[in-house]
Amino acid sequence: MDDWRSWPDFTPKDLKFLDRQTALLYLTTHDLLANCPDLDRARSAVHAAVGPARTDPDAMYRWAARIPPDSAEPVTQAQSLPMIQPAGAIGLLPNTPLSWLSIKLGLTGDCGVWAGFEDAGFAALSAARDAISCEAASQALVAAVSSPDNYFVLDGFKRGFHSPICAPVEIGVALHLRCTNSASGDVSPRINALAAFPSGTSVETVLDIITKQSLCDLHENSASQKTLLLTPLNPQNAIIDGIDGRADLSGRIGASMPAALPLAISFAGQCVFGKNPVAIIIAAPFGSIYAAVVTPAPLLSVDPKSWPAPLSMVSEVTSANASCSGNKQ
Amino acid sequence: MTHKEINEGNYPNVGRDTLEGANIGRMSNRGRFSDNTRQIVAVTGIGAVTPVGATSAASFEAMCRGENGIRDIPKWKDAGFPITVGGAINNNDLFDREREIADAFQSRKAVFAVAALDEALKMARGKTPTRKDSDMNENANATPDSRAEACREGRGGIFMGVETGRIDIQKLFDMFRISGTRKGLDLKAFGEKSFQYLTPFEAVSKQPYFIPSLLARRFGLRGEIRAISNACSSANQAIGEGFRKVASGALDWAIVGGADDMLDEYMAIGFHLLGALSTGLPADASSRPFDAGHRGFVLGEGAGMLVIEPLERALERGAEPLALIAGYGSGASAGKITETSWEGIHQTMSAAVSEAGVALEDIDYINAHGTGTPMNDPAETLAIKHLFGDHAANIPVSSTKSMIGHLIAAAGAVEAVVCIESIRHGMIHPTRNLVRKDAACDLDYVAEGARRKILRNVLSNSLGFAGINSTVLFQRP
Repeated sequence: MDDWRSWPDFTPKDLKFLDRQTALLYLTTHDLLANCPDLDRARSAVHAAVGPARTDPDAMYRWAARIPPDSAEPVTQAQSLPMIQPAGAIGLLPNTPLSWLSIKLGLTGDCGVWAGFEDAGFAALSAARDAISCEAASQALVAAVSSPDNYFVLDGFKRGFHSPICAPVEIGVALHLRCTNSASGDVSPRINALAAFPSGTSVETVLDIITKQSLCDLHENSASQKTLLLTPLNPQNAIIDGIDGRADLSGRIGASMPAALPLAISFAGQCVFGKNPVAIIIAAPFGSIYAAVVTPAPLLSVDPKSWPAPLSMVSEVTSANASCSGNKQ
Repeated sequence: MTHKEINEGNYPNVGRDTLEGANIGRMSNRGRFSDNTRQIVAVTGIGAVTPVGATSAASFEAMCRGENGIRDIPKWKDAGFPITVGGAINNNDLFDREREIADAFQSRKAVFAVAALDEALKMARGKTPTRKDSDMNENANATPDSRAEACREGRGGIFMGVETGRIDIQKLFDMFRISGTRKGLDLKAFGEKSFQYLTPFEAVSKQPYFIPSLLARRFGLRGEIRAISNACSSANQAIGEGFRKVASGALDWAIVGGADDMLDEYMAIGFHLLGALSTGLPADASSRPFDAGHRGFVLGEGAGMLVIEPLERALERGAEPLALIAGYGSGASAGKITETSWEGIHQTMSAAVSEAGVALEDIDYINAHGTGTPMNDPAETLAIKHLFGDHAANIPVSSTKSMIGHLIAAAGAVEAVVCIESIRHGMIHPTRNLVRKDAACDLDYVAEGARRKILRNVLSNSLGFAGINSTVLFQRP
């Protein structure tokens, strides 16, 4: 990631419009596509989860450097206003990361950019699944990034929530989703449930509902299951209490914000947390709770025909790429 | 109908009575889907705050009169700022009513969104008695919570097109200035001193997710909350994504729409330096979609909100279906970051029509993206001609932005409200300032004044900056 400004894919003019978040989104999607040579880029949906757009820090530093410390002139008359380059303003439109995926990678199908924190990753996954389900796309990509290298984002956390948070981490992940038939013998990992819950929903209720959706026994007394929790407001949310066999991903690697759910799904699909169904539960900063159930590949390979009939839509994680460049805080 | 008739107060009341008499079959198809579980999606409430009106009805009536909402911005004009006009909302009553929100969050779009949703929820209330009707009067003592009755039961969600907010540029300027040095930013000083300029919730309130979250809290709504940030296409895509959720049966209701307040110096100078904004024209003549003299778009502000739900649920509640949403298409058109391609909007219009399962000849009106930029107008025109062929000449096209400017993330939402009002009243508003068509713009643009027409299927286009496009198809119930 550190050499992204010298990538051959982008001209010097392009680079004026790129920020770190966009570069990370591009990198993860580019790498994923390299593993999907048969993907129809015009018929596949692409939904991106990104953090809030931000002022280009470099541009702002240059702007600040041009302002005499003792100057009292009104901003609208400032001689330094042209230092706000179009790219800086355009960078505040979060759709530009997705535009680069279209421009450079030829992805032209159903699309959306979901901006926020953990909610954005859920929204992108849900929208991608809807796009396949309603036949707007044959397959879908979900690309999600967390790039909190911005004072305003961090300050928003500190001031808005008045609570300690897990250290934000810079990370990108991309998933390839396609509809599959559970009786086909396909042994790819699956997203068997995806659900959102209002704040205050008990963990038992969450597990009840995603158990019904996924047809997996996900309750505490099921020795085989694993519950993966991501709690950016750790440890104040009681949802993490009392669950055996849990792994707190935020505690391990930091808060991956928009990338949190796609990242957890990627890890679960790759059996990072074992070979049994993995329940993922995320308590997001604004109170909503997001949950998913992933069935890692090897489980299906045991006896795919015994697997329950598919729900209205079952998605498959066929590939993923995660790029982690460390904690930027 | 002419401008003269409208200006003389002859705004036509072509309401449902007129439409009921028309020989039009009830549209209740499920589009290309044979799946009987797919829901027909109805719009049961609309609300809008625009530069020409504080409600959806007031805005649409003003638009049908061809009123101008683009004004000089004295602060900019007096300061010699390169941009001097915008579609500004100067409604003190609105801000007085929502003073707490305006002050606490320093967010104009939050005020617009609350007002628009308040109107939409009131309209969406059904006639079937509900448990809270006993303590509700139509016009008095209704709390935000009680107005949200239509969205109290079942699974729901809020899907909003919202862009990241900007901190006031003077404040930003001061923040950087206090920490700036000749060598660059003093990060220690920036962290310690600069953030004292912000109110506690100011930074977090700029995040897109904040606005739908605020609406949920304000109106007591529980469900999924989504913020989609696709620039000019944001609200159309929010409507489309909410539509998919309700159509699939995943949700029982959704609030969809968008809000934006782009009239700030930071975005204005950015778009200006890109050459995208109209300059050098009087305020009332500055937005000229499809006109030979178009020079760019004009930034505006406002909000539009819709309540959508399955038609069956709406009828059971006794709510009036104002329109149906029958199709949605979105896509990215690979090109350059600052270009608009006709292929992209062709793709999304085609997808929306296909999903609705209607013939191209059944499209009766297109509310165009129609920004007034020399790049957009010919591209959108070309897309319409390519898709509709000979029928393109028969489809009236108009641009709402000619009167209120470009509301960016809220544009699709207000234009959705316009489409629904157009269907309800059988009326198409004119495109202001269209005097002589651009040579590459040769469709039937409604320019002479509001036009009466019974509308069965209406397309609403949004072409997002950097090639993110979307189209929603609205249908007469």
